[in-house]
Amino acid sequence: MGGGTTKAHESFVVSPAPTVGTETPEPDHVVPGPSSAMLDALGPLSEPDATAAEQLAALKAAAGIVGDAADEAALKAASGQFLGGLDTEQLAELALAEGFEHPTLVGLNAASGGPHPLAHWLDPAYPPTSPTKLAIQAKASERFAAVAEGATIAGVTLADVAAAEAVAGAGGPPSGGGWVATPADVVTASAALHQALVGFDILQATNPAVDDPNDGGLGALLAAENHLATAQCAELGIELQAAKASAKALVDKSLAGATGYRQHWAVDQVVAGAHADGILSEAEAKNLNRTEQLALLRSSTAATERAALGEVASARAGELAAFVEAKAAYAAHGALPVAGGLELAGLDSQPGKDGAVAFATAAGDYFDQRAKVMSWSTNAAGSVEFSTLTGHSWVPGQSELTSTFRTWAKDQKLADLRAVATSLGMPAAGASRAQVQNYIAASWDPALDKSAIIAAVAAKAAKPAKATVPKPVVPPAAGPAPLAPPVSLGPPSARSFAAKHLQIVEALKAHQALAADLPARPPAEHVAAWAFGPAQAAHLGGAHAKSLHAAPDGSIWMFKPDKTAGGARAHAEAQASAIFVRVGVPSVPVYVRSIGGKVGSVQPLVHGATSLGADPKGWSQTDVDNLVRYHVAAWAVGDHDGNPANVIRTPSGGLCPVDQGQAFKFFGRDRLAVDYNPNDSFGSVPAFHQAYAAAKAGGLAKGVAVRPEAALPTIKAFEALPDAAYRALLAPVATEGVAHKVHWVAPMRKDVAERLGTASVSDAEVAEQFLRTAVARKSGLRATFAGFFTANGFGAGAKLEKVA
Amino acid sequence: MTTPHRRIWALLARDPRTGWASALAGVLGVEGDQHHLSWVPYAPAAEQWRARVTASTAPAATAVEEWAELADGVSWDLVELEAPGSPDLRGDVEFAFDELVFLDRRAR
Repeated sequence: MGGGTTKAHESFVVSPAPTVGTETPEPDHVVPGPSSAMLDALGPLSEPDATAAEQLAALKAAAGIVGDAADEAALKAASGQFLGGLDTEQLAELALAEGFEHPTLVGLNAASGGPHPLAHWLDPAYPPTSPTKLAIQAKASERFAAVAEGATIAGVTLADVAAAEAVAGAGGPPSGGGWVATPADVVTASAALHQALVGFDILQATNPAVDDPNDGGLGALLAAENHLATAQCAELGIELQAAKASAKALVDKSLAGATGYRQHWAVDQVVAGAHADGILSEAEAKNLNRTEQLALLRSSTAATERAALGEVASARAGELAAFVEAKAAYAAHGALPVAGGLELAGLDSQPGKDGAVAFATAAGDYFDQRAKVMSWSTNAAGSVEFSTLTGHSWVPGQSELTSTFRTWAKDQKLADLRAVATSLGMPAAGASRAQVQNYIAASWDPALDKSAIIAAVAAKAAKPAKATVPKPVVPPAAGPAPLAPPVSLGPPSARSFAAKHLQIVEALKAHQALAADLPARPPAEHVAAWAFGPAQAAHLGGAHAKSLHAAPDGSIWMFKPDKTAGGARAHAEAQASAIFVRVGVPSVPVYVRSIGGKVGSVQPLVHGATSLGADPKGWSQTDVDNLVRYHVAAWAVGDHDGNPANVIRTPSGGLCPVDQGQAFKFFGRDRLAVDYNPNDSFGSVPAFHQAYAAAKAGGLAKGVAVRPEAALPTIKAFEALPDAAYRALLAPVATEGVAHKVHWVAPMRKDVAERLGTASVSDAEVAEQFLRTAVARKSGLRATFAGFFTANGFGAGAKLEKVA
Repeated sequence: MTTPHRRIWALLARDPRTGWASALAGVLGVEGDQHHLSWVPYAPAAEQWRARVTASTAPAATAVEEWAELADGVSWDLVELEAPGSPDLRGDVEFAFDELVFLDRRAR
């Protein structure tokens, strides 16, 4: 073993590798060559007698000296070519030598020279903490556990794996030490594990901050599994490995069913004990999420995987430290709300200009570091502690800072601003005040692009003929309206007027930040006239119903053909989106379009957004208030599919419901009730219903509550919408729905037959019944929701009927 | 007696890098009343799909039809893939998983 195979001699390129999958594309310009140190380090790859192991060692050494993007590109090109040229057996042999467990169970279908997961796992251009590398090893262990339990994967059995890995050089006990066991000891350990499995019940887990600690038996389960996993018994050989893997499969299965906040409580108790015993470090106890912590605590997790998880925790600690430092530098300029307004000296002196450059750089660094931390901290075990460092996800946003900066910059001379922009890399001449300000703001604001601004300046200088393209669809460059600098009010009491005022200001800021994140809503007639570009291949390919298309302004839109309802569903989704916007509920614009001869819906993509987390414990008061408002709009349009995945969190942290593809589907049959979830048998329960259930079960975060009064603005907006306007909005939904006999047509036909007292009703009468039902629902929202909240024990429900 | 039709689906979650649901969460295979799921380990993006699958009480073959009907790619999505041709359902799911996880590889 040891990867000693000699690989046929090849010359390896050291130019940037082509991008694959969703790797960030290389910039479209000439990349400078790699350093001489990198070229030297990659030299052994071209030596004719070098073994595969030697070549991999050279790549690993080269990975240690990457200096810049050119070095990294050269390394990726070389490693991609080397590893891509190895066959499955060579990859397995090398991986085994590097500590990979069960390499024969990875890349089961890989053609020689084709994409192989082990080629990625071995690639030194990616760190061992790469989530994909972690996933590949975890998947191999999971598959081994499955075959050990008797499953076959593509016809491969445990015996096949044992034979293949014996040939490849595996078969010894896993690393990590252990205890010497007799066969009887192993049987005893196995029995103890089964006993612990029986005793494991996540529903018994308690919140130790409130109740007596109870981890639901998780600690005992992990201890029993670890005891068996670390047993060493030469007499049993492969049988012991199979027993351990089989046990792992059972524990995997048991843990897979433990989700939600009770799982968090249980894991937190076990982790606290492990930290106190010195088994987990401070970083591991706080910086990892619960899934990662469970893997780290289990001896059945591959040693390389556990080592990588430890590195992940350390790397996150480093990111946290860098963020704290960047935050301090940023706060020095008064840009954080806690420090008051932006405190920059005038630009009429050199120190003032230097200060502005330092501020722009510090702001960029702060937001970069914050984004890195927030990419993992919201799911980490220490998320509550981290959120006090990072603040609410939307305060302070880059767009808000840009607005504040623009307000400040109005009082500065253009020449001085230009000098600052030049120091930040902007070519000196030709830019307008707005372009100069935007260039400076682009140091921290991802909505602004320095290279695009430079290109616009150059284009302006060239004075091109006026283009006659449709109105572009880009987020408004100006962002939200400027806000007054924060006022220092001193520490207000929670019940004071100042505290309430601050809450309102925060809500307004959140709303403005969200509005700036969402794509603009061009008039429907513009979108109808646009010539969308040809379909672009989707990342994950396959028999895909959806396609991506470039709009005339270059923005990317997604088209989804309405295969089942001939366009009726697209109309419902588009009009639901339009109604949401009319009543102040954020919404991505949706339009009915025909592309490639198919009718469907088109909508722009929202970049940088994630989904609302599945655990209500992680939802803020602002989130829950937004969900209450969303509930009003969702009920009005009869959309019962608002599960957390259908609520996106934009880069500024605001929530925006998407996917109203089920709008009106259950109209005429639906009920406003927490137990009315027509999709629950498919696992879809609306986020607002989850919030209500969590509130009753103590599953929301401390201090977060369901506030019926949050619904008021949306109810009032619906009330302000004239019936005639509402009917006009819904007319195409009614017409198309009847024409294509969608879900709601049958109950509407029944209702109108009853109303008219006849069994024979026309399609026009059914459409009219739909519109009457929709208008009646709109008009009754206040009373309906007052009754709903009161009936469900949210005491302030009655307020809805008393407040104008 | 006819052989049940085998169908393989990639379960996707919203990816901030692309603006739509393109992050691999897992692979689902359905064949008659059998199904097999293979999740991407350690992927927070898989959390939503896990929650949905855990809460689903319908047979997988029925549920996946409903999900496909509702999916529109903005918040999450699923994509039907051609079955790779393994002798067994689990093999096809894992074949697809290996191909997709390589495509979806990332440094952090």
